Amino acid sequence: MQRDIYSTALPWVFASALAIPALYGLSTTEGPAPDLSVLSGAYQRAYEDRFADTLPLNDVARGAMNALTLAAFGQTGPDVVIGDDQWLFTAEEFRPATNAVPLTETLQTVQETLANQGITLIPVIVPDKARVYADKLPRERGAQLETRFDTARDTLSELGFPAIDLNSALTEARGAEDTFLRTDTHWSPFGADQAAQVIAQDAGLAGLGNLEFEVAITPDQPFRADLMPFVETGPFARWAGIAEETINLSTTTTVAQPSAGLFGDVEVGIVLVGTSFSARTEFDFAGALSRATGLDVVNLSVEGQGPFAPMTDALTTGAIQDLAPQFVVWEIPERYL
Amino acid sequence: MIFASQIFLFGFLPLFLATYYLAPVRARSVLILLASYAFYGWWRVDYLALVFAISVVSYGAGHVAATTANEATRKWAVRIGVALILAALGYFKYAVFVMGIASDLRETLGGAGYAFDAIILPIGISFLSFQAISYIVDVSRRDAPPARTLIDYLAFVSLFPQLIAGPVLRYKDLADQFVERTHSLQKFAMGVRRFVEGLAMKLLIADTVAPLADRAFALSDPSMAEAWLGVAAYSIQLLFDFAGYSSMAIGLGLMIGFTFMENFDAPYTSTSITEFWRRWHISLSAWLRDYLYVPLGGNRHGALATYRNLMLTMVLGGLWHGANVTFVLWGAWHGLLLAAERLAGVRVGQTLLPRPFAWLTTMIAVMIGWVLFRAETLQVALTMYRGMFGLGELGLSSQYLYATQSIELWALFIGGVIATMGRAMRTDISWPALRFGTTVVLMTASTMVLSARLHSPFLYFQF
Repeated sequence: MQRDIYSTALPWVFASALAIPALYGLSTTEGPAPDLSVLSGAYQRAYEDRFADTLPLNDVARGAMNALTLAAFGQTGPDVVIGDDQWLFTAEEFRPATNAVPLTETLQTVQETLANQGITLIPVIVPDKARVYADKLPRERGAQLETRFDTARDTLSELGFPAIDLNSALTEARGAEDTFLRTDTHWSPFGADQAAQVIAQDAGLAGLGNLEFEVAITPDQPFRADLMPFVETGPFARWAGIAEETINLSTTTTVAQPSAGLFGDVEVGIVLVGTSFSARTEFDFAGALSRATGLDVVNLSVEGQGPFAPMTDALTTGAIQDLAPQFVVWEIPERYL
Repeated sequence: MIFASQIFLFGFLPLFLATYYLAPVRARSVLILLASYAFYGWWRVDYLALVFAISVVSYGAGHVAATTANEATRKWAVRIGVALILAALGYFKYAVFVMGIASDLRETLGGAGYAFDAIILPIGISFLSFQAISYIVDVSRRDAPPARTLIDYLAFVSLFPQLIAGPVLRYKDLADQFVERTHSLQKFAMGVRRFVEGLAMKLLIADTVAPLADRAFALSDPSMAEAWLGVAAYSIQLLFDFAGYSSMAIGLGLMIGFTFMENFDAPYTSTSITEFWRRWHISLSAWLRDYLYVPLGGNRHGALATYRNLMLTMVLGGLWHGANVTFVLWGAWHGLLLAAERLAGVRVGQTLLPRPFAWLTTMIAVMIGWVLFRAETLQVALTMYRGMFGLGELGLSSQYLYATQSIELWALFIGGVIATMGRAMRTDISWPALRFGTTVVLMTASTMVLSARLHSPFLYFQF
């Protein structure tokens, strides 16, 4: 057994390294609800979670790990794929969808339900960001994913829906301005506006209504992108990190119609159902759709549930039937297919 | 509670060590017992009753066997004690498995399947049972003295460093240490080094390569490259996970004055399966040899009986790991290989092939076995074998490449180098300053990784 200054020092270093966080954690962690069962371990699990959350080391450690792996290996963890020029992509676009629903049968069912109410369904497939910005990626994503968008569009055509090609539209529009955000999964406000115009054009909705809208656009402001939390480097951002981006927020409001009274009937032209592409107000997709069609748009989109659950909810609760729109635009990101 | 968690590192361990070194010597066994029960009860307090029951049954059976002058009473004490422990193990670990087979059989014969509730598997029950059985047998054979006190025995059985995932300790190896053991800064420092080394093996290597394996085993049609990469990653993950846990257990033991047996000795340097089992999970191999293979007759009754005993021992050893046909087949695979090597005259340290080829074929055989060990079902294992033997695509798919992180491949490479460099897996650095610095760096890196990730369970907890 070695006897040297280091072997004498090591136990004290080790004890201090454990004791300092221990004193802090044990003295500041509040006990969980006393009704949790100790016998089954529920109380202990809850206390352990609280204890771990209390330690200030976690955020620093996460930042350090992200900074180290980004600087040393150029990688961004399992949830984000990084491309050229710090373009980030959700990893969901690089693997087949889990629990994918049968598209044909689902579309037919929804279409029949709406047709019985005299409502026209307009499904729209939103291409992956990795498709529109494929040039930022080091390699193709594999045949199954590369053909997914066209396969879905073919399905739409076979079922008699307008085969709206947002991939071409959003790819071509990149010449003017980015159609997707660099550090977010979603389209930019410009991309949302371009998408709305193409949908209106290809579905025969352009200028169908006579409502007028005003758009207010803010100057550049910091944007909290959805992929950034996965790559945040915290206090190490100065040495390694992804640059945050800014966004011009647009807000669409209806111009008051002199002929309509305060409580006059308002006809809903479009109900929009979909995901965060439509639900998040920063992109103003619903506003862009109103501007492109001249129709009032009611937005029933929901964040974080994919495209199918919001449609099921809207139909089963009778929300769409109550609004009695002329059209339902169903925004379906291709990564769910 | 698991070692690689913040509540253990920054809660339980400092509290325990402080209390242990402040307590008078005569109170330390009681303290170890209370701390060990708290450690286990952190998972579920109600299952402490099982730990206590197995301990009391084995203590009682051992006591009767050691004190009776009547040979028949001694035999019956052993039989009843072992049978009760096996019954508990059988109920908690294998009842659902057996019921499932019976239900499938009945459905196949046209009847209705049986309905049965799931049974929670108490963590560490396999290790606990084996230790308890070894105590009864050793004491009855007069191979070990009966425990000095019930407290000493309860503390031995529940000794928290090894309670959940081994090594499979025997009372005879620790009996003297419960009476008297030495404590010193140097011994504690060695314990810190072993503990940190194990923590780093678990967090920096095993957990980092794990996604490579998980992705490969989740593929419905893995290519040859994906299958082999996945199996290689799992081979490294399993070694560093389990050997890391053992190292932590040994380190914790040293911190409180105990010396446990080594459980791994560079198993991936083996040039035969016979040698592999001398180096892998040594405490389990020794247990199976002493309490199963030898009582079955060992190699004392001719070649055929020896092969049968080898096969039986390994199949039961496989089944000990889990109630699944995959573990049975894994055990049978190793039993077959051991029997074949014995037939060919292979001995430890001797090879029929040149050493590099012998090493390569041994590693391939081990990896083929690990597929069964890792796969949740036989179907998953067959899918991996199809990939490994080139019956699908050959290269890495774009999907696999996009999901793979560079750090996973680096961890696999470093883990592979360490694993095949033999004894360098243990930190035998002779320069004190470098040894100290290495430990501090590994401790810092492991703590950072632990804090950055969610808690990560050990693979061997499931057994």
